[in-house]
Amino acid sequence: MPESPRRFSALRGARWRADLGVLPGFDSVSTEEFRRAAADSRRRYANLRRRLLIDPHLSKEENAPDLVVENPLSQNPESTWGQYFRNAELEKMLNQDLSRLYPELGDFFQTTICQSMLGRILLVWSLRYPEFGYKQGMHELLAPLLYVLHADVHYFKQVRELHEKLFGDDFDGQTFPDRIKQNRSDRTNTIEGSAAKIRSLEDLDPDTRDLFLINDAYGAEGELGIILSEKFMEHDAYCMFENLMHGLMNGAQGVVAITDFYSLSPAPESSTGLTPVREASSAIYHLLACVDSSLHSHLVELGVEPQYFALRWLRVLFGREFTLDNLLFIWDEIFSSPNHSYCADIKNRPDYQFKILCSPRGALILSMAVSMMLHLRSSLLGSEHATSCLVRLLNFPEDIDLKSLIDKAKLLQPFALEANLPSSPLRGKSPLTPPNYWEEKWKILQMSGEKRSGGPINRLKVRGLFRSSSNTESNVSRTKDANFEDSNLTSATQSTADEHHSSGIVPLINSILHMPTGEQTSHVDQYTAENIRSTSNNVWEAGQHDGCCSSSVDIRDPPGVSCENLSRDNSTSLSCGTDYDHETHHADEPCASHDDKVVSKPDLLTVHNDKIDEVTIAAIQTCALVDYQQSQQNKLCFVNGKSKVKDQPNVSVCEVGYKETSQLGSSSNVADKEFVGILRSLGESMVENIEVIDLLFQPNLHSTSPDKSHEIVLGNIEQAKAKAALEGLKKISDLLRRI
Amino acid sequence: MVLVLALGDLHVPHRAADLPAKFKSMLVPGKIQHIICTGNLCIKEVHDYLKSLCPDLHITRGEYDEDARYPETKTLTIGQFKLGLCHGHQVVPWGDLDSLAMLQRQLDVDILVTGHTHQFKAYKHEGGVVINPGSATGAYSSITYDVNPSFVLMDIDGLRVVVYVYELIDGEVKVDKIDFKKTATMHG
Repeated sequence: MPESPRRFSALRGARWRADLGVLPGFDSVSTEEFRRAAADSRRRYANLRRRLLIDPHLSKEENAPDLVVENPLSQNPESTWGQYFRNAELEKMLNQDLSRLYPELGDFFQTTICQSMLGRILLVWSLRYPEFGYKQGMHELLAPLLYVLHADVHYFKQVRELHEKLFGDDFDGQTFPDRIKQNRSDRTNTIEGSAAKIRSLEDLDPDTRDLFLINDAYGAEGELGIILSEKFMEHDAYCMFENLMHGLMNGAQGVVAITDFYSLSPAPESSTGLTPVREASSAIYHLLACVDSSLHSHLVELGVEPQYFALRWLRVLFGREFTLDNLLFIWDEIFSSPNHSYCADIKNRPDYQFKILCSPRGALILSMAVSMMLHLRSSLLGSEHATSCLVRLLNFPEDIDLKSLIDKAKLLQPFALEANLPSSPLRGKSPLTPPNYWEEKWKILQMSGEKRSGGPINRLKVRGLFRSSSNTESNVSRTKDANFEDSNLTSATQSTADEHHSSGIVPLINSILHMPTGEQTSHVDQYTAENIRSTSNNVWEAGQHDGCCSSSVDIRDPPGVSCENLSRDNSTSLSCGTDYDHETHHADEPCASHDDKVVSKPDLLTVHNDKIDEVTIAAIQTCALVDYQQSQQNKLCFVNGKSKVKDQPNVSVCEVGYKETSQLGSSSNVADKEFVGILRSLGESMVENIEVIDLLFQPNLHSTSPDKSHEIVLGNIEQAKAKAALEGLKKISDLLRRI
Repeated sequence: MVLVLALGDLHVPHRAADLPAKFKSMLVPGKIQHIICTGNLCIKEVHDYLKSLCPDLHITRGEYDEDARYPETKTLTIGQFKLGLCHGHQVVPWGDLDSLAMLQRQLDVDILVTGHTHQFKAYKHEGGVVINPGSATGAYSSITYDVNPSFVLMDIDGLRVVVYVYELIDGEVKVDKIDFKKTATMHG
């Protein structure tokens, strides 16, 4: 038997049946075994159905029952009539739901034959498992299963028709029905039969031959063993549904069981005391916090509990968020991920944090959820109310790039598995005591950064408000990539940042000069749109700053970065892979990434990269510096505004209402050729700003900011360092002015 | 499958206060699809109670019924069966099978349900059935004194009807069952 890892690539139903453990896996399984497994599963369902679907008229014939018990008005719940009425009630509820199932695909789902099939399956299942029972939503898990089985049967019919003609040509005018007849006589005579079978079928390609073998009515188990059988669609769908609901894999208990999501009591092994679906929801947030902490903290701040939307996502496995066609692709991925646990002992709590994340399938489901949230990232961050966030989350757009969504989820999958380990460096219950490994990693990075920047790293306490209001997806990719692929760096920085934050160590000023503009632009950008809030993710972001600082090589770096920033801002689509590459490279090879970017993103602005970027950087750095000091917020916004103007002329800096803004706004409309002039004016305004900072610095940080809570008390040493940094800034601005 | 409750001669409040508690607990909404009542309820409250068990309620007029709008006879078709309903005080001699069979032919029904005698009776007659469900409250009648409360539930399924007879004897509900099959050709 020819075996390939993806046998029946065209048969989604057969594939799902194997993935869900109804049929044996494709490897090293003979057709006979395959058919036997199918026949067994069908027999099981037929028996269940016979036993559970009660007809009071038939059962009474068999043995003379006690009429006091066995009568239609019997109050005994165990009587046939009692069960009959219970079933009838359940059926009524089922039909209510089923009649509203996929109205847009009504020509399949709303047919009586389909409705009654679905109704029977659900009825048998809920009678078989009264402890779970039917809940609304389960029918939406079942419907796609039946649909793919139907598609398979349909496909097989088409192939058969095709080959009917083909056979007629190939075999001396013999028609297909004749061959079947011959096969029948052959097969009953075993050995001869199989020889004849191979001879007659060998002209076909292996896939089609396979298709015939599994669907031959005279193979093992006869008609009952036909893999793609219209007659046994109901049986097959039930078996798939059962395995899906209970997470069964060839008889073994898997991790992800959908019934858990419907359960109203916490799992026995759960230590959180939450119901499984809430635990899974918080696992989504856990994962999100690791991947994109700013989005996570934004949602947490707004009080958007994960179960508000995850409940629906998980219970019907995203069935409500995507069209059926798209859903099938998502389920393809989910089902093909194995459901077994990698934890040897699932009851042993220290091995993992979330039970659902113990299996690749569970990890993929949650990764999918996170991927969906990242898809909505910018609009979520733009929402100021919990309700508007929920509206966005619960009205997932239909015109999505499904492939990139799934790809992202698959990228996140191994990360999700890793994040579940208690030794995970990622945001856990106690972020202030990060594991040693990452601390070391960070120290190494820091040291190398120090060496390369050729000077002691000054520290500045960074308290920013780093929630992005920018609509560019670059943020997504940045955070995600930095976290995900280069997680050691980020997590290291995170932990250190946490340290800084908690211990009050003042982080670097000098390093700000080396900050990648990508980072800063977004920060400042965010700043303009947001109120100052000190949140936990600030700490993280701050950490990222530090990390990037220490890993940037020298002052020549920023142009490349800012260029990258520019092009990222201007690009509407995002390919996280490439974006990420640049991000990582720039730490080591800034020039290379610079070049790449210029080439890959043709934009009129990039033509001026070299000049513009320097200004941008300088301006932004100033901005960032003041930003950190929290005393010059507004002024600096405008500096930022200037730089942003070049990137995105419509950046909404104007909100703040300073006069400078309007000037800048007008300057943003100037043609490219006038950039030199703009640069000059930028330099001038920068000097102005620096002077202001200087001024404020003198009388020991008299904060003009109304936000007192963010005042930073700098020690004398730090102050001196800050001054030194200011001097550096001045030089740069002078340089700019001279251009 | 259709369940039809047939009962009558409750005589509330004149001869009985209410249905026996055991009957009341058995009769719950949701199971029964139709109720046919031969009459002598006698007050509106009983009518309302029956309506609460099943909205599809058919009543003929007994001689003591307050509501004079009930018809003397009524026919209805349930599944493949045609049912006729009449209180029975009009049919003399009271409870006489031949007289009832005459009414059955007259109404052209498979199953004739009558009351008035307060005695459960069921006859298979001329390819049809004649049923008297008795008095659901066990009220006395002009011809009987000690009456056991009884009613009838018909399970109509295709060409087959199973008649369950519920009778309260010495405080215990006794159930009996009568099978009746209709030949498909009977009504063409």
